[in-house]
Order: sequence, then structure tokens, then C-alpha cells
Amino acid sequence: MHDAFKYAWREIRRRKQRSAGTVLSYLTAGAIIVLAVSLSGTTRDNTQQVLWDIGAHTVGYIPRLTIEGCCIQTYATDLYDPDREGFIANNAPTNLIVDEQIEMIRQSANVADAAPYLMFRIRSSMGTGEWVLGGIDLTRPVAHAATVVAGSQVVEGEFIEPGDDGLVMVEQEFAGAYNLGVGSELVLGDINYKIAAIVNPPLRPGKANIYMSLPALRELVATRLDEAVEDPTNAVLVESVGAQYHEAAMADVSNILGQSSRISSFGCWRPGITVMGITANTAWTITAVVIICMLLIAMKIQIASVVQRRFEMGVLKAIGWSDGNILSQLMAESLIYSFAGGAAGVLVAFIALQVLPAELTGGGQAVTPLVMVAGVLLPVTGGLVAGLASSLRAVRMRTADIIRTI
Amino acid sequence: MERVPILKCSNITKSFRVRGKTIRVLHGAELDVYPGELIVIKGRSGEGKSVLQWILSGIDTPDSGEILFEGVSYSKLSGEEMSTLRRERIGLIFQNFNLIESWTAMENVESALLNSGLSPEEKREKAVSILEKMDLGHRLDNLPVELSVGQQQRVAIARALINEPSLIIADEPTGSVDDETAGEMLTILLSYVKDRNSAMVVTTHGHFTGEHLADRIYSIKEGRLYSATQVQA
Repeated sequence: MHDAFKYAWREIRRRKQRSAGTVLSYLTAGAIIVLAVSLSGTTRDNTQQVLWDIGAHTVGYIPRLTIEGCCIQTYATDLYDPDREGFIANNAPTNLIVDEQIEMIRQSANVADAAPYLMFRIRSSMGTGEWVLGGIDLTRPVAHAATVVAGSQVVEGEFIEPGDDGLVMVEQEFAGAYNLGVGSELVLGDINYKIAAIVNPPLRPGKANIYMSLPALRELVATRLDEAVEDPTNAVLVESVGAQYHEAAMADVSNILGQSSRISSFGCWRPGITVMGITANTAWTITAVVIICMLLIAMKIQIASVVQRRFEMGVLKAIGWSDGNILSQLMAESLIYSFAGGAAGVLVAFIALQVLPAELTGGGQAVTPLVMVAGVLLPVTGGLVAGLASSLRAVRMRTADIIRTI
Repeated sequence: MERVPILKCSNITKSFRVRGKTIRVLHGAELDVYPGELIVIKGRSGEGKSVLQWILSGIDTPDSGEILFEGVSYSKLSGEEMSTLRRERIGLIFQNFNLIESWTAMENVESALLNSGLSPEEKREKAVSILEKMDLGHRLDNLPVELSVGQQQRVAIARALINEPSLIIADEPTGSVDDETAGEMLTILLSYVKDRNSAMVVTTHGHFTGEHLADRIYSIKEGRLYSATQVQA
């Protein structure tokens, strides 16, 4: 084996032009692999982020049906205005969800996280009308990221934190309508709250007028019901593992909450994943075509090199080199070409990703070790195939036929 | 004591198909080569002497007949074994030397030591030693194109002899050089043959400088090897 590499290296050094051409082919293949994987990864991540922001979340709840005896009687029927106040979601009265259901949803393979959510409609303390209150489990990001309200959507003030039970956040439009600002007092039921932030979340499945921590809302709700309910939850906020798994996640939630449940989600995840699929497939197809072309070029150069060295092969076989010796040398040449080319390609791609403007790289994804290894291994695999093809051609050449033509 | 031939060829035939037509190149060639012998095979171009040479060296295979090298039939050897035999026991010298153009004189000679089991240093030492004996010690790192014809021929001879073969097969070994150089080469080859009790088969289309030293001379015509002329007893 030492001899094979020694003769291969000698051949590579002596025929610089051909060697440069072959290495360049493998370099291109290696670089394209790394660039394609990294850029498509960036694109995928960016798309995933957009979909995550808007489409990989859902709110599940169980509308209250009017069938007698089927549901937990927790609707505030006797307090204040029984037709206007109580547990709601999407403007519809709801039943409660038990903790076990939320835990089951959380355990689902298609679900990244799930959090309890409490939505309660309460009569306005500032004239007629009702307000929708959202009680968020502030310990779980899913609850205050894409489904309800995020820290980035604070217009003024500070996003509330766990334990801020006397604080609330109000929607900008709501605050404007009632002339409320950060620091204003707000009475809900019989309890006074201080406004910590004005927020402006976009359209969200769990949109409310006033947001507060889940424990705070539970405390408030307890004062509104005519019978005690321990830690009520009437909605579950769910984050799918990814946009591709969103449909499956919604099915899981629906199965766990029961047939009468409703799943509220954005519709954009479906065209989103279609576009993602098209983009990814196109990128992979182009990458595959380019890689195959580069490997074919390298293979052609190597086979041409064998044809060019036909005379040498014949002489070496005549003086006693075995087919195995010839095959080893050519395979060693291929290995050196493809390894050097692939490694150089990875380096070139790595540098390119650092120096190219972010607009071109989509923010630039770090080249992972796995991608680097793939950037070397794929050209090496192609090189071994090319080496084998050219070696077999060399081995098949009959020494007598070559010698005869010399 | 009965002499055992290094090489024994029996009833060798060889034909080629050219444009659908069969051309018989060798007809029942018989040849025994004994240790210490110099055998000259003369014939014009196209008479089959090169084909015979390739068959004797195991580069080509006959259509029929048998070749025994020190009692072992070529037909019984695998490709790998035949390569080993050719590398270790047979020294080939081509008419136009057939040196690898991109390799230096030393690399060309060293190439015959592949699979010899020697370390790289030992290989180099051996190659340098034989090239120095050929008076090429100052040309080790020259490419063939940088050498004179005579020097190229000496490199080719060094490559053929470096494994100390039992049999040397040479095609017009002195055909491309002047008489003086030819004489020097012949001296090297013949002293090798006599010293090691090996044998040499030389094919030539004209006059071979060492013809007068041959033990037997054959002529080949239309693929038939005619009876040997016993030059020396």
C-alpha cells in the first residue's frame, strides 16, 4: 500500500496540469455539497422560523355543548351576567381541559411543547361590554411566544414575568379605546391590577384584550364562579415539532381532547411547507446534478489519464507489475485527488460562507462537522468509483496488445 | 547428469484474427533454453519473433502448446503468479527500451523492485548500485529524455537485471547503439549470464553484435522456428 501511494503521489506531482484539473473537479463537488447543504439549511431554518412564528402553533379547546350532563359544569351561570361571562375561546363558551390531557399532548411525538391557557370573558369595569382575559403560563415559551403574545410585541412597558400576579398587559387597541397606559390601574372583577405593558401581537390563536399570568387569572376566575374549580384551564397552546409535522400534531391534539374539540391554527402552514418542499427539492436536485456532473468530469479525466498512460501500464505489467499493483496505484491516485479536492472544496465553501454578504447566504449558517465530513466523503466516494472505473479499464488492457503497438 | 532447461517450449502455435481472417503467426515452435546459454533468434520483421518473445516471457499466451519455466507450466500459473515470475525470474529488454518517460533513471530501475519486500532505502541502494555499475551513477535523477540512447539502453538493462533473473529475453538489445556501446552492453549482459549461470534469448532482425558468442542460433520464417545451429558444444 505504501508503494501504491508513493507511485500515485509521484504521478500526481509529475503531471501537474492533469492533477490540477482532477482536483478542481472534486473541489467543485465538495464546495457545492457544503454550500448547498448549508444554504438550503439556512433557507430551511429561515422558513421554519417564519412558519414557527405563524404556523407551527395551535390552540386546542373544547366548545361547550348543550347536551345535558356531558360536561363539567364550570360555566359561570349564576354570577353577574350568565350569558356574557365565563370560559370562552374564539368567542364560544368552552369546557375545561384537565392537566392529564395537556401532559398527553406534551408527550406526543409531533409536539414540541404544550402549555395550559385560560381564557375568560369578564364584564367590563368601565361601562358596558365584555373583555377577554388571557392567562398565560409564563414558565413555558410556547405560551407567550407565537400563540398569544411575545416579548418582542411589547410596544411600551415591560413584559410580565412569572410571579407578577398584580400586573397585566393590555392590547394597544384596547388601551387606546379606554385611554389606558403603562402604570394605569385596571379593575377586573373586584381586583385592582396595574398595567405593565402595552402589547400589539398580530393575529394569534389565543388573542385576548388583557393578558396576565395564569395563576393571577385563576385567582380572579375563582372570584367569579359560583362553585370552586381547582386550577381551571380551558385551552391548550401547542407548538408542533415543525411545520411539516403540524398537521400530525393537530390530529394528536384532536384525538386527545376528544371528538368535540376544536383546533384553531393558522392556515398558512400548509402552503408554507409546500413552498419549503419545492425549494428544498429544487436545491437538492440542482446539487445532485452538479455533483454528478463534477464526478463524471473527474471520472472522465481519470479514464483519459489511464488511456494516455496505456503505454506505461503495458510496460509496467510486462516487467512484472500485477493487476493488483496497477489497481492500487490508480485507486491511491483517486483517493488523493478526491480527498484533496473534497477537503479544499470544504475550505473554499467555508470561506465563501464567511465572506459572502448575508443577503446571499440568508444570514449564513455555520458549517457543521457533519456537513464538512459529507463534503469530503462524497467526493472521496465518487473518486473511488472513478478510480475503480479507470483501474478496471487499465487492468482489462492486455499487456501483449499494448506492447504490440509500442 | 541430465541438464534441466530453464525454459522449455513445446509445439507453440499462435494465430490472430485480422479483419475476419485468421493469420497464423507461430507454427509448432519448439525451444529449450538451458542455464548459461545465449540463444539468438533471427528473422525479418513480421516473421513472428516478437510474438514468440512475448509468449516466452508470459506476456502473451499461445493458442496451443506448453511452456515450462524451471518445470512449471505457464498455463498452471494465475495472473498474479505469472506477474511474480516475470518480475523475479525473467528480465525483459525491449528494442526501444520502453522506459517510463516521466520517471528518472533511478525510478525506472526501482520500479522493477515493486513487491520485492525491500525497504524504500534498500530499493534505492540496490538501484543506485546497479546504475553505478552501468556507469550511470551521475545520471540517477535524469529523465530518459535527458539521457543519450546508450544511457537509456543501460537503464533498461539495469531494470532487467536488478532482480537477478534466471532468464533474460532481449529484443534487439544492441540495435539502437553504435558498435562500441553495443560491445559494452554485450559484455555486461554476457558476463551476467555466465556469472549467474542464467540464460539469454535474443531476437534480432539483422546482425546481432554478439552473434558469434551464441550457443545456438535459430531462424524464424513464416512462424516456423527452424532447427538450431549448434555453435558451441
